[in-house]
Amino acid sequence: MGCWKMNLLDEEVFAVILAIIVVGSVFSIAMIFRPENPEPFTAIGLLNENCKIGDYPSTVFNGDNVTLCIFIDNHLDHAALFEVRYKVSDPDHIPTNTTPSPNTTLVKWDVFLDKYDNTTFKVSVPVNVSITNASRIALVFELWVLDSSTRSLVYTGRWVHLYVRVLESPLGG
Amino acid sequence: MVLLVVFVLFSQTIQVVFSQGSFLSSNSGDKNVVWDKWFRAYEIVVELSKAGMNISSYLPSLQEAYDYLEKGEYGSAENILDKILPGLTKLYEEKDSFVFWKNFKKVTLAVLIGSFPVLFYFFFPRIYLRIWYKVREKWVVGK
Repeated sequence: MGCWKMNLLDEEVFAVILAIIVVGSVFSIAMIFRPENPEPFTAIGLLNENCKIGDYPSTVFNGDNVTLCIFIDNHLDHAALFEVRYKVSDPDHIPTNTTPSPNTTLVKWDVFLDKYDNTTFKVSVPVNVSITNASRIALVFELWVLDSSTRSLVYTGRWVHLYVRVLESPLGG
Repeated sequence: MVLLVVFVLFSQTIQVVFSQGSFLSSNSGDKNVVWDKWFRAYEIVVELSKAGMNISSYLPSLQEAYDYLEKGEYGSAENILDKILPGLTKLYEEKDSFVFWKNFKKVTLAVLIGSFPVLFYFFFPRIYLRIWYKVREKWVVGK
């Protein structure tokens, strides 16, 4: 920096502009090299029969079908095959973050999702349980993903459940 | 005698059908072979999408093949897989080159952005001066 230009371009103003440009450049370069997906995750959501949040059924007749919507979000760093498994469970045997419900899978749905893609689909699930009067059960939906390295379905640790009270059908069905 | 001729003709027909192998392989497919093909396609799709390549056009076919496999219709699944696997394999061969050029673009952009402060430091004062003089070149000093 020669003195010849200091009368025209103030040194401090120039330094401030330069500092802003340096910081902006460093930030931009960091954005270019940042990991594309630093926190990969999957998600499952339960919606009512109109595919909206809330207004879920709280009572069902034994033997009836319940219509709900399932939402799945793939925020992994790759496309994947997801499987939703429907189980009926008592409140003591719902899944955890690490273990799926020990109950038998009654229905399953398989969905392929691209990276960062999601889907919502309607399901109609049967509620057939041996009940004492007004049993409280959980309709459980677990999310599994197909692991390409082991070629097997792996529980993601994500699930949703809906507690319903099951009543004997008035028609005796 | 007639029975013997009918039996010979029947056995020859059966032999011809099975020796060509088309009857079984095209309609039913071998369960393990088809599953293996499907998993190979799945592995390729996962690898390619991890690399950032666009594989969305293959997903419906892969889903359809999976649905057929679940239903036990191995022949139909194999037909779909035979159609998509060559394309997927070709894309997989291009993966390394794709990743190289993707990284090359990133580095080039970073170098360009990184050089901006240096260019600004050297050239801005000169450009500023030039503009300053240009704007004032017709100025006349008043009495």
